[in-house]
Amino acid sequence: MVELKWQFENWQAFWQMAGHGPYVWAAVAVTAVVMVALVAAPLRRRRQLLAEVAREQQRAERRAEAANRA
Amino acid sequence: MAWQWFHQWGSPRWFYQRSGAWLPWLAVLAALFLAVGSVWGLALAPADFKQGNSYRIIYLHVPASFLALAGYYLMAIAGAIGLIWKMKLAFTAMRCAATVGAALTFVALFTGAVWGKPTWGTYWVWDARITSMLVLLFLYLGVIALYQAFDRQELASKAAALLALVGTVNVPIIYKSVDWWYTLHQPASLKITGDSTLHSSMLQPLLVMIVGFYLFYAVALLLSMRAEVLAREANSSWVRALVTAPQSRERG
Repeated sequence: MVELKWQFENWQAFWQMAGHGPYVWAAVAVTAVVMVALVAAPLRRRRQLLAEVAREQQRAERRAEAANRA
Repeated sequence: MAWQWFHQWGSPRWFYQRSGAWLPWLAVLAALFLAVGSVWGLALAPADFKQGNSYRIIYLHVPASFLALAGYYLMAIAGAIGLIWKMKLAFTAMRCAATVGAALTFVALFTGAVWGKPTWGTYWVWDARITSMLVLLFLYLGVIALYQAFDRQELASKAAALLALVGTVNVPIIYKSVDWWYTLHQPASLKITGDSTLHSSMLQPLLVMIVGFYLFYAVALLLSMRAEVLAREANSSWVRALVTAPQSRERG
């Protein structure tokens, strides 16, 4: 087992990564955004679809009630 | 027995319920592996003695590239199953895999570009590995575009599946490109047979990230397929039952 130790002396050194910070963090940011979008988009679509089905159902119920009263 | 198992996959309702049961576990595991791998790779693994800290991009670049390639096979196989057995769920998997795969191929190309700048002095070169990855992106986008170009869903799925199958020729070319041509891109550091050229202190977090990306891929694909199945089955009684009985476990 390799011994693990924190490679950076402080947070600033961690963000800067000895000058490579912009490249590393750009890669991290774009990857994170794409991965979050891949999860969020289908979840939102599913919520919208279920809401749409529910609205459709309520409309159908109201129509049925109106028909009963008439 | 085997046929019953096979037939279950033809049932969108069965798929929706089962995948709903698997997803929380997969999601927790994926988050765990990605979190551990990220901290390990970005902060705990030693810096490369030649590349310094820019090499840390490997922890995103290699797993994303792996999944971009493995995802292409998954998409093509799903397309073949759809063509042979006319299984709708297989075509759904193919379409969803195209979206996820295109996104991960983009990630592989982008992380490669920002790694290339400090390492090779350029964001982009028309080298064999990079060009064949760009072709992979266009193949994914082609499958999506071809599907959308047809009005009839069945015809669209068949055409997209054919393109996906023809495009599989590209995948071994990508794998072998670093050996066949003299390229700027380095040869594979990970080897299934023989020793990897990566030191274990760098290799271990990379393996954690690869497992994390595989789990993430499963989560993203299943979520996307479930939304697709719901859209297609919106008028069926089992979907309407999901809405009327939101408390039930079926909602998943």
